[in-house]
Amino acid sequence: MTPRRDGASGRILSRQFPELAAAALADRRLRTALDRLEPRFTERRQAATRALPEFRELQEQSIRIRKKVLKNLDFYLERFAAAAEARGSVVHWARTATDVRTTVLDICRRHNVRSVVKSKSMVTEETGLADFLEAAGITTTETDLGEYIIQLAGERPSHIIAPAIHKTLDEVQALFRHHHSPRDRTAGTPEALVAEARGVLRDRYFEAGAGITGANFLVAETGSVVVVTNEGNADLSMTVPPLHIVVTSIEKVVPTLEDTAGLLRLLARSATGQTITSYTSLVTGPRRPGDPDGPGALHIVLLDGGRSELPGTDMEDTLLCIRCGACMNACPVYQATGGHAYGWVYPGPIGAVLNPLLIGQETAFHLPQASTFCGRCEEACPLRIELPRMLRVWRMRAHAGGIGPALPRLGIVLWRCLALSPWLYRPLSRLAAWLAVRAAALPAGSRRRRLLERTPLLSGWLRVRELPSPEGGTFLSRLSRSGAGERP
Amino acid sequence: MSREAILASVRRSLGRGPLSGAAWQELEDGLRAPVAGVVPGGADGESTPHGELVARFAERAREHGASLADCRDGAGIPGAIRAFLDSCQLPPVLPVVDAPFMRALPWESGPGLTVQWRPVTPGDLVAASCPFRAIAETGTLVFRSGRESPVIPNFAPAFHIAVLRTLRIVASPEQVFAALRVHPDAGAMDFMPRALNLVSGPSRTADIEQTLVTGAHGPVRLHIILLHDPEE
Repeated sequence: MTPRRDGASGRILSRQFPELAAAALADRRLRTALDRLEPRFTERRQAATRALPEFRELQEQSIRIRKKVLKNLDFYLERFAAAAEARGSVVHWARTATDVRTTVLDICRRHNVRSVVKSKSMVTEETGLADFLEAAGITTTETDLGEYIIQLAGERPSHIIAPAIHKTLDEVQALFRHHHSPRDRTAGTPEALVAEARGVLRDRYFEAGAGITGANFLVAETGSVVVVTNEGNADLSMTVPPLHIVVTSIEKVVPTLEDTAGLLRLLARSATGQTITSYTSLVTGPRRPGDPDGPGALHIVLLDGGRSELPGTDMEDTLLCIRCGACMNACPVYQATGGHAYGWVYPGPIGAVLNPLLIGQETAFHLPQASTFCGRCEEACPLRIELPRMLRVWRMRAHAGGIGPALPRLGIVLWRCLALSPWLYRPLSRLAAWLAVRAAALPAGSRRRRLLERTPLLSGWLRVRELPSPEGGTFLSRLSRSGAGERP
Repeated sequence: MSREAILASVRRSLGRGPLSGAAWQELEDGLRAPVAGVVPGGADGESTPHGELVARFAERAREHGASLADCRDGAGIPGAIRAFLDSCQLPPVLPVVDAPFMRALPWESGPGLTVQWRPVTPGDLVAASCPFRAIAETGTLVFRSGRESPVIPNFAPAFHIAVLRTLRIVASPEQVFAALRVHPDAGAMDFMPRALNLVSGPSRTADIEQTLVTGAHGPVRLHIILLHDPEE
């Protein structure tokens, strides 16, 4: 499929994944934060899912519903739009990220919006909406506390659920000290910092001309937009300002309210280990006659961004994702490097599958390579998305399409030749076994060992590993010595 | 047009044209007759005694960080509100949502509480409102926007008091949807209010070093006054 390069926003650093990952591994503060915090997500998710006897059933049901939607995505999108419009919402269809940006700017201009409050939305990240609006002269304030912190820091979110997970208390305090006026200053505990941010952001809600939110789900039956938070920032963003703009993507649609309830049960548990988030809001259209508050206009922008080409393909399951973040919390690569190393909006295993689709496989080449296929992501995923399988598909496509460095591809071709030629493979592996015994006997730190460690192609491997002591010979030679069919 | 282009792209990927006939009808019927799926704790809660639902709701609401107080009848509510305001060192003045139930309470006989029947303003520290329903499964209050139920009081003030009649406690969100569908205000296909807000505890964030702090943007404290119905 054609890579969506025309719309993709912001600086894309995925090509530098190896360098960024190395830098992340060397960053002691980041490592400390991740080591301390990552395990908690997994513990809480596991505790929450174990506490629900019906979890397995709920999973099966939700997978069925999501797959049914994908098989009938056109139907459900049309029904959602019809229901939403019947209740007074305006629905916009955006093919690309550029379409999203121009549509939202156009809506803001028509409503004379000068400032916007925004709650967390991966699609707005994907389309670079905040930066675009700022450049067009519309002040944009992130209200999700983690997003607000990284907005002040001028950084990208490093995690879907906890965008500022890489920031320490001291770093946050320094940011606030720099950006907030002295009268807002309070002591440096998390409680005090939250209270400070609350005060600073409170005025923005009431001054803003528009609130921009994402959507966790879109209910086709009623034309409702579902948004979940723990902070209440989305709820204020979509109630206080006179205009509410929802920026979301086409795969979020769910048939009925009942289906949504099931998915919400999975989402809360898989994301943060809660049974439900503090706030779950379903909005259906703008203010009606008799409504005492609420926005006068509700606009829903549906982004395609390449997703429409996935149903019916071997990558279709990417669209099952409910953005809970469980996969990245379970991933040893993500746990070691954090989200920034992935270089674009979606980190972790889902990012490794999704980013090549959205920004092109050449740019995101490294991401599917950065996996040991341990399978923890698939195990942790509430929708049991076959992430390792799809990573493998990307690797196969890269190999077949000549994408990425030539040397590893050559290595694979050579290996394939060998593996298909037992008459060559067996003597070579006996030689390798003989060499391995000699190599393992080299004392660590000796001149010969250090020379060995500089062997091309093997140096990265050998430099950080001790060698096991092989007993010599290959498995097949031992088997034939002991007599095939007899116990060795 | 983008809409047609996107739908056409989806259909191309699926290898078919627009749905029609029996296939279309089946999906359409599915939307018109929604089916509840797996509900934790078994079926629809109708077999659970109401007293148990009330207790479960209270327990789960507390787990989310809400505080609760019990009242045996409506006359006790102003006093319960006053007690809460005192415990938070707040002055005994608050805006109350102008709903018939709240209007009918004996405020004057009450304990020096000044009630203001006006919309909440940004400067208000506390407000009181009435939930439409409450969900026992998750300890959740359900607010339905409407003429007598603005949304802002549930989110803007730092202290939120919810006056909940226990007969409004149901087992699961599925039962809330069922209640909406038969509500007198509901039209045939448009029974959803503009906003349906499910509130489970005060506002929270763990964005600073994963330390759980309440009062991020929504209320710092959520106080639920449970009005027990005489039948219990």
